[in-house]
Amino acid sequence: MESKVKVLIVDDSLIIRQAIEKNLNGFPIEIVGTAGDGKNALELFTQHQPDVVTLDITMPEMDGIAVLEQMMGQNPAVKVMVITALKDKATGLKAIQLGAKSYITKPFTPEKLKTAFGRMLEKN
Amino acid sequence: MNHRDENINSTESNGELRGVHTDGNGSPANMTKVILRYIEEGAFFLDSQFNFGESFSAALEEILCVKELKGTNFLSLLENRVPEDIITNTREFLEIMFRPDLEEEEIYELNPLAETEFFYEDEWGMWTSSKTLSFRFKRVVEGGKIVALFSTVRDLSEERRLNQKLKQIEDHTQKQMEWLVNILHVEPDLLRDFFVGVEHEMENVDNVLKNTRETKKYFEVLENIYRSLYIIKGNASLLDLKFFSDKASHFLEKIVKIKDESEIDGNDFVPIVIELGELRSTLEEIKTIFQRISQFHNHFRAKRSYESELLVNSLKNLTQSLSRQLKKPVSFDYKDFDALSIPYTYRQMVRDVLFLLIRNALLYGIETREERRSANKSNIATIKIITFTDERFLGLVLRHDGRIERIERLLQKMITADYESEEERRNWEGISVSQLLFMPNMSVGDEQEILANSAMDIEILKRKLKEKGGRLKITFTSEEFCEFIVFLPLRA
Amino acid sequence: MNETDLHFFIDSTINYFEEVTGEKALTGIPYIKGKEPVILEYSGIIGISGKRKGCVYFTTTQAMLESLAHEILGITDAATETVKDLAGELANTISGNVREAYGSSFMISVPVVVEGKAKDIRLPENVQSFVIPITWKDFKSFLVVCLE
Repeated sequence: MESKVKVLIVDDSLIIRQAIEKNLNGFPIEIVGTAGDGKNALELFTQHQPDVVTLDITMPEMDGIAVLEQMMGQNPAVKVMVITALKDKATGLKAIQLGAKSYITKPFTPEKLKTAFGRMLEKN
Repeated sequence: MNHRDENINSTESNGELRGVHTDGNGSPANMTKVILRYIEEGAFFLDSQFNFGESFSAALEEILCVKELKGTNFLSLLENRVPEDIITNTREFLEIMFRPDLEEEEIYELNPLAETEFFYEDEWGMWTSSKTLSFRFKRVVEGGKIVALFSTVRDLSEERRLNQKLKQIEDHTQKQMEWLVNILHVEPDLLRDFFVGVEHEMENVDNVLKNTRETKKYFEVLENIYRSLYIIKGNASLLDLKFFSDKASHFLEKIVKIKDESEIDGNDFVPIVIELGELRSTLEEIKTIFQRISQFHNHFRAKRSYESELLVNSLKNLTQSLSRQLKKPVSFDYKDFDALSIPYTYRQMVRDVLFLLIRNALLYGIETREERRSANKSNIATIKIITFTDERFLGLVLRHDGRIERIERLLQKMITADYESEEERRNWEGISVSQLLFMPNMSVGDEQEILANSAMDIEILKRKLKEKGGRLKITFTSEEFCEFIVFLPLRA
Repeated sequence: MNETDLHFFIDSTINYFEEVTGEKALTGIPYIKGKEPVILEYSGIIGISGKRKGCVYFTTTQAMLESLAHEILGITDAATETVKDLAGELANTISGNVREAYGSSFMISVPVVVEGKAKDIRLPENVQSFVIPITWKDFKSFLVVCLE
């Protein structure tokens, strides 16, 4: 049996975490944790070693870009999908430069999220 | 040859720059390092691949906010810090700096980094700050060959910031000075009334904006705002506050533009609310200036009532100014006008009403010099204003000796018209006479702005009178005069 | 603050509703905020720093947020916590999206959510605040933009 992809959801908004979880439930994944701030995200990341992380940028405690940098340092193979309201190109480029594999902006439709997530999973 | 060229050539001629760049183990290179350590400017060398050389000034890393520059490619350094097109231009510029067939002086002006904004990332990689930097490049020549470029970089941020601030202050001061000069000639009481009037109208605009919920009423809202702005503009013109009337005109133009659209929604009101904000800021600033100078005014002002004189003077100014503008000579008679008999609460209203009546008399009632001559009338027309009171009313009269053929035509029309009742006839007559008197199309030709304004005048007059429970009576004799009498209740 | 600035925020808000719910929100007539409070049941407030300074908030009713939560999560009984969170997320998304126009030097804070309509939101003094009424479905809300 194929093992499930471990996913960590990081966003300071409860409803966004719930929306991501709901919209991804059709994928062969296991949600190993959800975090509402950067510090908690890193703790859960170390603890669960997820394969995929959905990551917000504007968060209390620790910004998503800093979190991304640390996650990539710990596990360069992790697939990070940045989901943020920050629509400027510089932020997107920065996230990709730091190793994020996907970048979508809020607000997102279920289709937009699922398509981007599916595409990221398919990539090696 | 400029000063910089002289320096470089002299150093080149005594061999110091050659040593700086090429010496691998000799003292000149060490000396250069020592010198660079003490230079407060950013200074560095670029090789023909545009890489940083081993020697650069201590200040450089601080200015650029970048560490470990040695061996870094200059163009790579620019990436994400300056716009892409500037990087491209810089590459081209540096390439031609190494071309011996081109004179340095001739390409000097092409330096794309002569003054450029450098963006800096914060700890999270966000562009949060920027510096204005100025790079200069000079050739380092050895044995007739360009072997490197010597560059200096200066941080102009503070200088630019101060210049910008200074310019802002200068512009602001200049603007305030103009306003000051403009309001100095206006009597403080008139100015105070003006402020009250503008605030009243702006409050009206605010209320209309806040309280309209029905989309269908959006055009009505525009009309309403237009009327208020029109009054503000009129009052500003009356006091010769050009900057303010210009602002109001600009605002009116925006409203007209929106009115011309076939359909409007809330978004269309964005320019209006922004203009309103600016107008309000301007008003606040003028009030501040006024407060500062009002003590000065009070100090030198004789302690007696000026109201009558002030109001009459502003109306006289308006008459004279329009008379000149329209080339219609007019004598303004105000000997029976006593502003002291006007209750304080009506002062603004009386000014507004007389402003409208005078303007209309001059625009649409009083003939041109030629027309008067052919009608055997005196060359100079007369506008007379009068106040009277009884127990119940304050009366204002404006009489002029302009033509009234349009009223005759109206009468003719009324005679032939079919009314259902005498009351309807009277109602229609009352409204139509007044409207017709404000109808511009008989005498002003194709001045579109005036056309629009005139129709607005009657609307405003009606609104103002309605607000205070007043009424308007118009009397005339065909060849002699036309008289407007406004009754305002004294006990509201 | 000019017309373009205000349009960025309005467009961002309208886009939010359209993208999330497929239904357009309508802009009412904007006005300058006076001393009267502009506050409904939940308000998400975002502080703005960097090249622009100020504050933006979106204030709305519980009913609107519940309806919105239904659109997002398909739930009919959104918990108070969810509703409150959505108010902040809305303000965050509206402000964050505006960075498309302003760039990354337009810094936004994490949202602060104020619950209840007793008091007004404290805004920077001496800076004009613009109020934009927003109607989505039949729900009323206000976007308030206060930028230097």
